[in-house]
Amino acid sequence: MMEAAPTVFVVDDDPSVRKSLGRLLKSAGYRAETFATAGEFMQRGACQGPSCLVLDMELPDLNGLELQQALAGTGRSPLIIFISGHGDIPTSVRAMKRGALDFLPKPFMAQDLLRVVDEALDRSRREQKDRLELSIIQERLAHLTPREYEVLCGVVAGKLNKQIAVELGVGEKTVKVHRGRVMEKMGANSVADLVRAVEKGNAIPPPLGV
Amino acid sequence: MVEIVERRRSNDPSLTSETRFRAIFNRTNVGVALIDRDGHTIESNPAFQRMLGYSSDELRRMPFYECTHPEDFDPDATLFRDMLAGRSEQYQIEKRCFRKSGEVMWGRLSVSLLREKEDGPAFGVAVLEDITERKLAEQSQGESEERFRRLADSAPVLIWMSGTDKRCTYFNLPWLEFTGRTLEQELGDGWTTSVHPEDLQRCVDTYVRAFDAREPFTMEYRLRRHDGEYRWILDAGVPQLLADRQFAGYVGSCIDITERKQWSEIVERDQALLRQIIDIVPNLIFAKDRQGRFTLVNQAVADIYGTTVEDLIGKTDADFNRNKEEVEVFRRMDLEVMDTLQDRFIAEEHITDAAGKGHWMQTVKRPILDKDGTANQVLGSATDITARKHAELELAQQRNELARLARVAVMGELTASLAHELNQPLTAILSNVQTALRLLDDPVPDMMEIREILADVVSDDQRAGEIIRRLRSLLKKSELKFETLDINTVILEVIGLIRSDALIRHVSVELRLAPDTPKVRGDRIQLQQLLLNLAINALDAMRDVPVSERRLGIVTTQNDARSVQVSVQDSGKGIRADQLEKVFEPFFTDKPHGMGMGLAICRSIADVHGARIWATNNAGRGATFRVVLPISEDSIS
Repeated sequence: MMEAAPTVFVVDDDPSVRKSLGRLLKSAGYRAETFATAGEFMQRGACQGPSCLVLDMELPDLNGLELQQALAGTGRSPLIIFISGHGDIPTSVRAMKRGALDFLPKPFMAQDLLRVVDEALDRSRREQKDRLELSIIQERLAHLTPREYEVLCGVVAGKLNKQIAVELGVGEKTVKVHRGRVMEKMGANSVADLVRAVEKGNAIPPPLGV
Repeated sequence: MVEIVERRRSNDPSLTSETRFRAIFNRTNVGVALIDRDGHTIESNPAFQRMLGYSSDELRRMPFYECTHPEDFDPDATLFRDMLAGRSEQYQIEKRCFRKSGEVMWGRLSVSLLREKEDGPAFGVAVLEDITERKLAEQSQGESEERFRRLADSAPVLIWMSGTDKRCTYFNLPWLEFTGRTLEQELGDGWTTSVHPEDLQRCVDTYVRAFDAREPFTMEYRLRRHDGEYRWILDAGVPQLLADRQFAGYVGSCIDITERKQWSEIVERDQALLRQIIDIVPNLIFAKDRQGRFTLVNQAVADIYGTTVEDLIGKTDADFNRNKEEVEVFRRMDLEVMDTLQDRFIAEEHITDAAGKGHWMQTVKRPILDKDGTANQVLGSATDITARKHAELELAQQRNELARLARVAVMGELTASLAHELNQPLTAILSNVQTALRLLDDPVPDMMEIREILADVVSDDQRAGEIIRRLRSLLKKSELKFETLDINTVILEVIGLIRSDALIRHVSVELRLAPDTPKVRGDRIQLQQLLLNLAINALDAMRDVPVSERRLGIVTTQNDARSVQVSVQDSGKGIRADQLEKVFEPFFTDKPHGMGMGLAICRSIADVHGARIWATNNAGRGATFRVVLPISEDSIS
């Protein structure tokens, strides 16, 4: 699976800070995109690869917390690392409570920022991988026929073919055929694989009625 | 006489001897003479002759009346004729006789009729006693009684006397004239008819009670005057004792006290009115003696001290006022007024009431002069100016608060700006330098990139410097308004801000401002701030010093041709020698709740004004802060 280059977004109204942070991140091997205002960043749209946001608390249009909220409103919840010239505690606490990853008072050491950015991107990468797997499983589940789904539910519930056949009122042989198809469609090599996929895809088997 | 002789003869035969009779006749001290119808002395004994100084012959030749005082002649002659005419057997008379020497002799003459035969000639037997002495004594007694009477009658008081039976025996003329009644009407119990019926019983009771106890008494009653008007009388009676200490009744003297009574009623009414007036006044009115004891207070004082006017008299402030320092200040002021004999106007003073609540007073104190010109009491009147004072204090507090806020705002803005503004270039510099270091770790460092980075570092550093310059100029130009100022005026403005504070803390403020001090150039608010900080520090430093020794002195002097010096002196605890310089450092404080910024701000203000500020300890107690301000250019030229 081909992974997009991790991107670090920087939003800070101070050009020197913006430029120096962009330079630092690039030197550490990241792709950095910088923005002077919250508005500019909002226009940029979501990004595909793993990413995180280094956000200055004091911005000319929206402040950091407001942007955090605005992003959440559009369904985007990037991992945010706040930076601020006023290292005031109440604001940092508020930011952390809303899910910020960290809060760095300016000026900060490069390694501190890079470590947090690393963590953020790791997490972003994991989240992205999970999201990808989920979408594959969901797509596969969507391809099952109703009968195949019923059989899947029985298998995941740990029932024998004979039991499933009785419950569905079909022959045991038929069940066996469906089961083979399900395994094939779900890309599962074993029952265990199947169970894991169902769990991950949040496919909750409906109770089998008679 | 012959008859007597006869009788004696018949009674006592042994005494018939003519010789023995003669002997008696001749030796007795009583004068005896035989007078004939014509009044001639036929026979007389030696005593008779001695009394009148005539010889027996001389007497025989002269008629008896010749030696009788003309005023007494007629009564004697009449009585003698009546006796001879048989209308009486004898008579007695006291009469004056002339001795041969011409002296007057008072004689008591007893004459008896004597007939030797039934139809024979009648004689008078005269027995004469010399009563001159008794008469003279009687006369002189009469004179002394007369004198007493004259005295009593001319006395300006009514006088009465009573006997041992309580009944009155004498009233003097003024009494009789007063009541318009006669002595006879008044005697006995007659006088009681003039006593007012309402007073009579009480009057009599008092009299009788005193009389029985033989004690002096006084009583007041209304007595009817001759014109019918009842007048108030003060009657004082004392028991009279004779020389042998025998009780002889009472003597009383009375005066008309109607006017006096009216006066005292007027005085009482006036006093009551005065009382009402001073009680209705909302001012505190009081008088105190040298021991601080109240001798007069009005209701307002009683209200403040939560007691009654009566309770306050004789007590002191200390008995009601829990604020010892305040009481001490009152005492000092009171004594000063009594000692200097000068009125004292106290524009503002503080008094704590019974509930512990404070009141602001404006007070006048005045010595009450005795006859010898000294004062042992002080009179005071105090107006409660609490409401006005609170308004002033509030205003002053608002001003203080404003000044403080202005200071905090300046400082806050300064630090906030500094922090934020400087953080940006610092962040950029740090980030750039660390990136450069990372780049240098590459086997083939990107020197172009590193050069760019270093150029950015330089520009960010310049930017930081620029920020600091900008802030400084901001402080200098925009925040500060430099003008030409009279430093004394600035000091007076500061005093206006701290005066109440100083009063509450019982600190006396002494100003010695040099007149015609050259003007300085500075920011009024900042200089006020500087002096305010120094003054408040001084007040704080005297917290533990006895009230009487708390002094804040502010002195201006012209140092030299180019500078003016302001000294702020306190009598506080002073500064440790090794801390004289440290006190100006930020966050240095010895106050429990101090920030340690006051003097640091003072120094920064002084710096901005090109002034010098330093602290020294006083030779005596406390410390002095000095600020030397350059004189404005305009003043120099």
